[in-house]
Amino acid sequence: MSRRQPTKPRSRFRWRIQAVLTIAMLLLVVLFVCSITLVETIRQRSSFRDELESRGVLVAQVLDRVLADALYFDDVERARHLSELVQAMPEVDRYRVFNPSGRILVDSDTPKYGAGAIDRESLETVLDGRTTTLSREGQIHVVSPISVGENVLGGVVVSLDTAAIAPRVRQMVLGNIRQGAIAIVIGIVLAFLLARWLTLPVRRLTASVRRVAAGDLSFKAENPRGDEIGDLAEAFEEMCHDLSASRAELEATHDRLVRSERLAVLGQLAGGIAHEVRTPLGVLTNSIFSLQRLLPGADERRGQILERMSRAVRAANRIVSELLDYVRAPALEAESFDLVPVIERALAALETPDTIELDLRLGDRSRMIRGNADHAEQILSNLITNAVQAMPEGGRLTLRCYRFEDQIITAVSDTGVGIAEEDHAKVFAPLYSTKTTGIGLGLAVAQKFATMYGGAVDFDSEVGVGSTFRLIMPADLEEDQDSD
Amino acid sequence: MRKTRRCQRRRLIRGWVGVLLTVGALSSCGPADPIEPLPEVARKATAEGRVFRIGDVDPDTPARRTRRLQPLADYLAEQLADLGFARGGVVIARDLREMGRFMSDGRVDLYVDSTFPTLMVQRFSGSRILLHRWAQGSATYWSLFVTASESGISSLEQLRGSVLALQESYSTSGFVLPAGTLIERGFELSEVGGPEDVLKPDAVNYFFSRDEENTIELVITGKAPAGAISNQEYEQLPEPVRDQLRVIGRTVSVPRQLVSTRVDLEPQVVDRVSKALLGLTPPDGEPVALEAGAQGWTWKFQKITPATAEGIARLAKLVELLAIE
Repeated sequence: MSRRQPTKPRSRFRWRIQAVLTIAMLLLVVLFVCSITLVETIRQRSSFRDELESRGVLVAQVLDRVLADALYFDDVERARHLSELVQAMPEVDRYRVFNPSGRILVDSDTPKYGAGAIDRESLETVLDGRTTTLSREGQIHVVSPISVGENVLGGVVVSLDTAAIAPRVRQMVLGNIRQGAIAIVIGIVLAFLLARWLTLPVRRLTASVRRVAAGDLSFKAENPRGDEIGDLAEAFEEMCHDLSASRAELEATHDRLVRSERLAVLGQLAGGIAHEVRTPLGVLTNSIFSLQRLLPGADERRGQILERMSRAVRAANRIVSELLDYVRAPALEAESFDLVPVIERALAALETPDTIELDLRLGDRSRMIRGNADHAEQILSNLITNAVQAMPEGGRLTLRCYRFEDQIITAVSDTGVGIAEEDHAKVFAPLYSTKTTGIGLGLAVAQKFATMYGGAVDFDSEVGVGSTFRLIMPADLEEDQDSD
Repeated sequence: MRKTRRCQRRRLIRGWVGVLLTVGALSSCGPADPIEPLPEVARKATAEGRVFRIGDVDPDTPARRTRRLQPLADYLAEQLADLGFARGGVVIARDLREMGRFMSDGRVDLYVDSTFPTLMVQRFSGSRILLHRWAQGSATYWSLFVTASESGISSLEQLRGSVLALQESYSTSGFVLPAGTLIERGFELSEVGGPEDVLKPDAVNYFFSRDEENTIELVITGKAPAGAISNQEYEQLPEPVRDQLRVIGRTVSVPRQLVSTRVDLEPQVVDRVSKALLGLTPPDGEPVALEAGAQGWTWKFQKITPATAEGIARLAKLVELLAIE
């Protein structure tokens, strides 16, 4: 016998899905926020720089407009005087105005003019009529020509210190970090809530699985989100349903097996007893018959006793027959026959009290079925007997025979006491009876015979109203009149 | 009486003779028939193409003036492309003498200005008057003598011993026309530094206000008893301002502006320039804007008519009276 392997000891810390999801989302949020912050910082820094450059270009354009008239006539003094306006602009660190020869005419850093020459690169840029921005030693230099039409009158170099934007950049970076931190905190809360929301169905499913493991198969899946976990829950519900059905079937099979086994034993025993009892019952029958013949003039009292004895012997015979029928009756070869005469025969063989009103609705056509006529008569006899016995105070016995689709149905209805609902499941169980007479094999035999030929017996009943038992047999389509 | 009439008749005849002589001189200075073959002109073009340059005088805002004239220069260069001109240019001079020098040495091909500057540049360089240009919607203009409405001055005679605000020494309507007219009418003129300066009692004293708007301001505020402005300036004044002024006299009218070319410009070029400029004026006579925007000038030209020539002659006479060198 194999022993169950000991489970691997779990560590104290368990990576629950919720924790993993929270951490994963948190990492994503941090990564996203940091990336956005970095990109935004770079973009804004570049924007500040562009703005500074734009201001430099604007200053250069202003100088171009302002100084063009002065430089047109090489009026350096006027140019110096006009360019002083630019010094009021805080971003401008330095500006130099030079003529097409490269000689510096105005230098904001040097009061004297004419003391230097502009660098070659700036001069060439200006002579080409281009405006360029150069970055050198932490400064932005905007080089722009001063021109009228196609005539280059000179050039200007406006130098802007990038340190001027440093406080704004610092402020911007701090602001971005602050915003990023707020975004991360919000992200943590949202990640936790989202992970909790995402794992909620898993946790519910886990609890359900535990209940199923404990034997409760009544699992009901809920999938309001329509997601994969919901699909899993639905699949699990289906599995539980199948498992429940299988278990019920297994239990039923088990019960049937037990009952079959018991009945087999009982059948052997009952068969032997019945065989042995039938012989003395035959002797008793013959004896009573002889006594009735030998004592034709006996008084009424004696006649009643003999009649009672005869009924008792018939009842005992009937019980023995039912017992033998249920235990031993083999399926005979099915043949086609008309069910209506069989019904009439079964009805004629029984004695119905005068208190029972008979309502026959058999119709005027034959109802051809496939089966065995003797077994069919036995079934109908049992059903009619039960119906009569259900109306001890009298009532109405109704027999109907009709075709429904491919089936011939014979309904035996009574207006008797009816069967309680809690007893419906046991009605066809052998040896079950609510009556004082009989051993409870009549309906079991009827169902056994019917099923042997592809038919069935069903019923519906209501306490105080009555019952209707139906023999449902397959119609012989080739022979039945309705099939034409 | 009869003597006076005879004198008037003689004066009239002399005037007409002057006009005819001037017109004759102008016609002799005008563009010759296009006889010269085109290759001769084209030969003068450099490998890069010649530049057709328009000149102007502006000591204060040469760059702005250049931008305004550039569209006309470009237009003319385009019209002269088959004669070897590749692009148009603008040359601004500090004063009329410098402009005369530019036209003499060939640095300026075409000069567009008021009648007086044109006559002066003609004197300095021998340039030839080509066309008559409209400006501010008028072919001619004149000067008005104005005083404040409540000044009590109602005639030019009352200006003796007083002071007159004029615009600038090179201005046609702001100096030559009013000053020349006063001399022509027998007044003595005396230049002073300003209205507070010592004034000559028998003369009409004058000073330069630098701008016609300044002149109006000085007259209205009473700082100058009288002033001279162009009729165009006067007509553009708002009604309330105009109500504060009284016109006490006017000058003769002269052409608004003239177009002149340098003396040695090839006749073919001169002819083509004349046609190009006249071609700017559509049949409806509305001036043409070569460049959109507030800074763009409009252009409208017409041929020199006898009336134009008469106006030029009248101004030339005043210039002589003023003895401007």
